[in-house]
Amino acid sequence: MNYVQLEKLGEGTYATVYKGRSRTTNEIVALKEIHLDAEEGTPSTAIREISLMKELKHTNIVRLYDVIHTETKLVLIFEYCERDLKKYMDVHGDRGALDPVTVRSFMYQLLKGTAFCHENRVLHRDLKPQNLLINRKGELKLGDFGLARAFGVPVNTFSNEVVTLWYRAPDVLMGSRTYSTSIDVWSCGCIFAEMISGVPLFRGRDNQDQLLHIMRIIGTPDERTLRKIATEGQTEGQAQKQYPRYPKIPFSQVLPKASPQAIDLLERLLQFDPAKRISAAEALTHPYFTTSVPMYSSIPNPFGGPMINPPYAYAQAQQQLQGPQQGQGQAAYANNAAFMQAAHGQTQLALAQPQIPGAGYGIPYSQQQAQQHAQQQAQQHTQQQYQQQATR
Amino acid sequence: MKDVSNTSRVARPSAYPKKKPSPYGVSKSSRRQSPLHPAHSVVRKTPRAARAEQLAQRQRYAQISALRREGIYLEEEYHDEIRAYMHEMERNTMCSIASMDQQPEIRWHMRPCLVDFLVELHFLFRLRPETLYLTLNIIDRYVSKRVVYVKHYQLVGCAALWIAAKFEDAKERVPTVQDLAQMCQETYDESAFIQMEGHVLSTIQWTLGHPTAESWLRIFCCGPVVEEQKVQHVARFLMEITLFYREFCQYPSSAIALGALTLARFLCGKGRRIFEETEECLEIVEHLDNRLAKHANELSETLVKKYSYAFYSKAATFVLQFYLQGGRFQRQTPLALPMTPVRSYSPKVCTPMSVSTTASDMSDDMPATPTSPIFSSDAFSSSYMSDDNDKENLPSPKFEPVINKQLIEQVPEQFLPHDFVQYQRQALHNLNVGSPRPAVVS
Repeated sequence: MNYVQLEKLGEGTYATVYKGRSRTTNEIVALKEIHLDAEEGTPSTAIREISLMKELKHTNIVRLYDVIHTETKLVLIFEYCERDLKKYMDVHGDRGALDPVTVRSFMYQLLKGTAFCHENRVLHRDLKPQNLLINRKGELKLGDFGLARAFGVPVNTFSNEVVTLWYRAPDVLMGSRTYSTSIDVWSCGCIFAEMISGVPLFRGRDNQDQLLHIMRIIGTPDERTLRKIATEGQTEGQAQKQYPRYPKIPFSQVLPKASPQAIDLLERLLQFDPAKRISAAEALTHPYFTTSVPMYSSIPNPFGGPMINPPYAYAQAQQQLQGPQQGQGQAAYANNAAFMQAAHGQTQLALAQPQIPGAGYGIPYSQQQAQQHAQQQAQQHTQQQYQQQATR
Repeated sequence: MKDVSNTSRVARPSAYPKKKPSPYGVSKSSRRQSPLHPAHSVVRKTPRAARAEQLAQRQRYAQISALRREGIYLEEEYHDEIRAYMHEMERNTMCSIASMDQQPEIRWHMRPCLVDFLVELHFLFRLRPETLYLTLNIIDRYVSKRVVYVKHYQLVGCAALWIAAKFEDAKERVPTVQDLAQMCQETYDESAFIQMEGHVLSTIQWTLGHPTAESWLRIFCCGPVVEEQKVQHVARFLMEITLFYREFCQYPSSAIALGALTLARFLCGKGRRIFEETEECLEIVEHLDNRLAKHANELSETLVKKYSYAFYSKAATFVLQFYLQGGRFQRQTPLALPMTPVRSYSPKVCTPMSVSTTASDMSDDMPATPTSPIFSSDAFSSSYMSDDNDKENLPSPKFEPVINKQLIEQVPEQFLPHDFVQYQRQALHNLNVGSPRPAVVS
């Protein structure tokens, strides 16, 4: 094998993940080993995961580099990420709660990755903090596509035993099999709330309990919506369940730390009726991401001003960094020795303060600030335009 | 760095409210009036254009919400992106006819036998319609890249079906390796399937995202007009015919679906949609039309039987009747002329299995046929038929898939679709003359 197997990173239901190093490039990778059953052949989860991930090449989706297929096992070689969002929240959060700037950056990247999946007709079907990986540059990547599948237009029916309970959409809990992209959007909403508060928003014990947990917060929907969703998921002859009528608790009460715009976005993500749920692509253009930083930051934001679309800041920084880091020969190392030092210094900084995506990567501080300033001005300009149009 | 967000996705405007109309119309647009969202600039239109657009939009909303009520979701938000992506993937998953022609052993006249066998397996295991198309695409890409010996042709087919089912179908539907070995009458070891599966996967580099003709047909059928069930079933029958023959391999799946739909609409007496018909699509219509007019009685018996069920609106019976009565596709049809073909069968034959519902058609569950159809022992007699396409005159090893007939229950005569039984005597009799039982391929 072209990779040296290092320490074990974790064990899943059907696979074990190791850290690994490429013998040729010295690059650190993640090795996912799947044991092959003599009866079943290649597991369908692996077939779906590999074929779908090969298609999905995006900054916010863990990249699959290679597949090694032997008689007894299957090894998937993935891009390496330091930790998952769950661990990240435990380590960096204030009792799990992340600061608003990080939340916004992660949320943006999460929606970006999700929207990309949906545009490429893939449903992830298992979004949760444990499946979102964060690398040292503060990039968030969707991982574990073991439950993912391609969907058609119009959408076919699928199994409703998908998504970890706490992140499962209410329509799926009620038995819907014709769910679609909205199922991932619900999970995004749950993760959003969890990043703000530090604890999972709905923690049910089982299907029914989960549904009640949801209704207790977002309120029991009206009879018509309930009936509509229930009939979609019901097998014939099954009587419609009666649900207690809970009033809606405003999210500002549930999540006192969240800004009004964050609450507005959350509201749209966590719609009981899947038809009313916002799409991931639409959510990306929500004012929460486009207007200035929330005011109540516990960690001072060194840059201030509005955030400029994080993933693209990465892309640039990556280009500048990847050359030396991924080692295109010794010459590259020597030539870039000075740069490397600088980059290393900044990597440390980024690790300490990863809430600034791609913090200072490659781009000098002053330059980045200047760009942000320009962006801010441009934005103010467009806002003025909007206002003018509105008054007209 | 300025405004980089727009460069990556041209299709989507960046200003929040300037979204494409959402499929859920009323509910979403009313929410949009939140004070958080600034009013957006509206391109000025003439009042009439604006009204027409409004009307069209309202109709579309009404239609989408009607579909939603039946449990059909269009995912309107991503429609354009998904379509563009499907076109890209379909180009990436084309097979090469030139290299398939160069196979030392397998010949094109063996293909119908293999497809026939796979259609039967696919039907028996009640797999999703997409699975069959994906299976053939996997086989074609594999055969375009590797030399396949005749004795392994069926094994490649089974491995491809296995992979496609694992990708596309619910876990409990995927056949086990024992199922496959049994269906091949223990011609291959169980380990051979597992080995071949791995081999096929690495040869096609795990690329399984082929947009099938079935998935295209679904998109086309939910376009501006929702197609009638019968048109859809006729189109599916025609699409499955295309899997058998060489002349259709060169076309992308979207063209196959559009061609089949065009011919299906014609056969069902629907108006032509000239503006949609591409050159490729008309070529496919022509190929299909020729094949049906000249070689209707050479069609796979398994396929004809499958599409003779009321569940499929008896599509096969309907199409074959049209062609056996000398009907042909007319390229320049005056749109005013009603092109309803003469029907001779009695429409009152409606067995209990005629429950044809949209929802179940889209679902995991395959046709609710009461039992599996019978397959006469000479189902493979077609391997002896000549195919005027290519190398049939060269001496080549015989290919007959082996199949375990004992696994397939015999259906009592009274459960068979009535007109099918009648029809079979009329049309396929010449195929039924004494064909030797296929020998076991070692």
